[in-house]
Amino acid sequence: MKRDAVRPEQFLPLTSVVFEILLSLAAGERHGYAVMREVSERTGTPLRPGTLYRALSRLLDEGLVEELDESRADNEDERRRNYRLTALGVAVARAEARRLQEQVGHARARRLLSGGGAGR
Amino acid sequence: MKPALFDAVARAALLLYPSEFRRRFGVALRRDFVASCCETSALSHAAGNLYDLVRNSFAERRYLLRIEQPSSRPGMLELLVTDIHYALRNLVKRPVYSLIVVAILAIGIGATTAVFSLVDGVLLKPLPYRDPDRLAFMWTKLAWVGVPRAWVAGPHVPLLAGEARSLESIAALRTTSTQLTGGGDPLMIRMGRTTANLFDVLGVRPALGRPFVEADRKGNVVILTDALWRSRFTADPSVVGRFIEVGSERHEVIGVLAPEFRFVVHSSLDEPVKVDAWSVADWDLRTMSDGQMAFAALVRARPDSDLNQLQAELDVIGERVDKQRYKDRGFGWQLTPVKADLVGGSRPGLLMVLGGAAAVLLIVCANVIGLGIVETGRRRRELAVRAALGAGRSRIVGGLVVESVALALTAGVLGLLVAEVVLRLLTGSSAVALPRIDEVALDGRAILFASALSLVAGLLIGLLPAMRASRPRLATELRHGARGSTAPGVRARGILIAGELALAVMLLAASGVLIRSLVALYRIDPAFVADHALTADVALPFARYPEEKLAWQFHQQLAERIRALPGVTAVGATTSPPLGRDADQGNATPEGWQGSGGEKSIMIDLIRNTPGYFQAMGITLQRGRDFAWSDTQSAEPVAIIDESLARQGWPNQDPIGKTLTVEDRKLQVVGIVRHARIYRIDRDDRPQVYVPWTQDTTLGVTMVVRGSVDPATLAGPLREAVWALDRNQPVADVSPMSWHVDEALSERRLQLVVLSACALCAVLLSGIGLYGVISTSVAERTQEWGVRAALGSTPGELRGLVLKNATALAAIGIGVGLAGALALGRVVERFAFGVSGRDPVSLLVTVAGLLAVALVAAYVPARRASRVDPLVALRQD
Repeated sequence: MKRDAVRPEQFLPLTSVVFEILLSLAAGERHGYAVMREVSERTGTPLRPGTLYRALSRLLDEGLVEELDESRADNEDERRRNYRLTALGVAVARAEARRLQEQVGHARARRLLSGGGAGR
Repeated sequence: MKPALFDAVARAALLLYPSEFRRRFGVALRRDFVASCCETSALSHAAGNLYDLVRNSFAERRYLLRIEQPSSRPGMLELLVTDIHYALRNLVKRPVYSLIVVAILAIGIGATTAVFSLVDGVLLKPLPYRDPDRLAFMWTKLAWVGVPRAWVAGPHVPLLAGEARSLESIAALRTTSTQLTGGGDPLMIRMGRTTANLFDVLGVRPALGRPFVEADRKGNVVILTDALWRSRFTADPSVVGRFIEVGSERHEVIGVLAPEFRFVVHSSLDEPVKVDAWSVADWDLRTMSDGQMAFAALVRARPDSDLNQLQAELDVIGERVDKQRYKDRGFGWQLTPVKADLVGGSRPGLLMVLGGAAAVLLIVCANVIGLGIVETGRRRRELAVRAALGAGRSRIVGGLVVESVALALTAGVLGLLVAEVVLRLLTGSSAVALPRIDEVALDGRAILFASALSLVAGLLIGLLPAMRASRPRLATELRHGARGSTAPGVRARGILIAGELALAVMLLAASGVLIRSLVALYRIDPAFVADHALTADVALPFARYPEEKLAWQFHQQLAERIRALPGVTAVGATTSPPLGRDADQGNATPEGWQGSGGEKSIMIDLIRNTPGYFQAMGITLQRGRDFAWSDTQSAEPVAIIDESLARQGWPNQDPIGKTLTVEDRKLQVVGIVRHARIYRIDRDDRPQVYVPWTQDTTLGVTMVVRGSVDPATLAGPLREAVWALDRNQPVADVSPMSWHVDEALSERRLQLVVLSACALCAVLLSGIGLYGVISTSVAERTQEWGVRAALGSTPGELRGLVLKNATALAAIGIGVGLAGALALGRVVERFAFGVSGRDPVSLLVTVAGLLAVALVAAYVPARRASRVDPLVALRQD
């Protein structure tokens, strides 16, 4: 897989799970469990460990996310790995957010959503 | 739910993931999985996590298959897991086939597991006593009397305890019906009276309180069984130490037995009697008459010895007693190991039933193999592609076997549900009198059995079709059409069907024999009339009836009251009703009688009745007179004998007026009755001597009321009549006499029901299988039908062809089955009554029935063959 000359747009559209994870990490580096809790609370549907880690696996492989070892103990089990967005990851998250914004714009134009201002 | 459990579950589920993923994320995943599950107490959340975990494993593997480089060689576990994924996907893609197979297998596995549980609970499970292989019941052998065994006489217990070196301990037991008051309505219970060492002999301690000790002989103590404790004393632990009234005497409750404790006292000639509570009797065994055999005896052999050695010692001592006391007529003692004694009689029947269930399972498997052959036949292209892509034969076979094992295991789980239902049905009816029936349950052993069975079944049904389907000519399959590949399949399936039919014939024939035997049993004349008779146990408490006069008054008045009820034609009471309580045995010497072998007396059953009993029970009084209330203890002692004793004791004379000496009492014979079968409905027993209840009174009797109306309607008035005389007198076990007959035959009925059910299943499954085979064969020969029709065959002729083929196939199977049934006849003979084990009627009906089934099964395919349009058929490839 070629890491150089990768355009963020290549990854779009993102699945909602992936986007939620990127959103979560955009706020700062976190470990897996924290991402789970945060996404579950924010969206109201639970993000489960299996789904999370599989998605993380893909994100790590694609280079959107990187791993930091925070060794607080020598015991493997105690160590919590933190994850954070790479520059590519930030770019992709931003690209997706823009895409969604554009879609919302189209929805407003067709009066599915009330547009502009402070209205609902 | 403990975190450790979640962790274990997560570990297991992680095995489904590729090892690389496990290595990278396994630890974190497990930890977060546990944390997430522990967030709420809702199990559904944890279940959702698990489902999500498993589901993602599939996706991860698919992803891996797409990108993985061939350089990493998958390990064994990886292969297996991939196979499992693939197998499950295939099964889900073919839901109809999978469902049918699972359903059929579930029934087969479930039925077999249910029957196994039955057999296990009764025969296989060890008894809950210490070292049960050294425990035995001891019976008295009386070779010159025509009975297999008799109870033990009192003095022999201390005699053997002293003299038999291999004997560690011996306990003497009796049971009696008595009344329990306090804590509710008066309740009749079965009380076991024993020497103080019973629980030492058994090697069992009560769950609460303490066992008996020798000093308890002088006190009034009782130990409750768990069942009585729960039903009567609401499982209240403080009952230990309390005083309750039993038989109108105060007893102290000193213990409660564990729920697993099961011990039944065996009646001398068959049915075990369940005991509700135990007490210590203050018998002076040494001074009792050694001619009155009144006790069941439980013995334990020493640890350094065994029952065989003990038996040898008993034989030696028995010979001595025989010589001294019985003039070498063949007195002795025999031991029966406790388990054999309790369940031995049921063993053959249960094994037969197990055989039936196993046969059904085989038929089920055969059908599923047949289905499997067809199914893998349809998948030949897919398998050919896999082979072309490099899959070795072993992997293809392995994959197919994994599929069938997965189906079988699923069926096994469902089968457990089926087994539970079947077991509930079988054991729910309280009329089933199998020993240890209450120990039958779907427990760990049954689950293990079901799992093993599922695994074996899965391997069996997967292997054959898989081997067939993966033969090396797969490569040619890619070129040729599907035709020509199922013809050999039909032959194999034909063989399977023939086998199924053979098994069905054997089952059906055996069922036929059982049915006819049961009918014969219901028809025999036991010399008493069960219809229109009601029985009830009335045990007067000694405290209120300390003098016999009071008891006589009660019963005489009671008889008058009941006799006066509308619809009542006769009433009486007895100490030993047919198919009820055992009678006591005794020695009887007819006047002027000489035993042919020099015996001094005849062993008889001694029964006490009130006037009117014979009429009430329908036992014909052949000569002489019935007892009267005037046959009191101040009058002359009299007796009524049965026809066997009359024949034996006074062969060419009239017994009326002669003297019969029973246990040193001289009785004048005043009447002769028919010999009633009081122990078993299908066998005559010892000669019977009846004496007036007033001349030999006991407080517990069974009332018998005969009426011209339905006996159930007499139950209420009977109780009212008793309570009119004594408000506090409980009336127990009020039931129609016919119910006792039914109960006596209930084990046979159970065998019959189960075996017949197996037979019907077998017939149905064979029929379905036959239909399938003929159907496929007809479809596959469509061109042939077309050609024949074009050449002038009529539809009738085409139909005939198919039917002939089907009949030929069925005939092979039925023929083999017939031979098998004849061979099996010897085994079935043991269960037959009044018919031969090779009953020709049953065989005939079986053969005719199955031929009919074969014709019906072949009819629809035959019609299809006759309706083939030649033009369509010839164009078809």
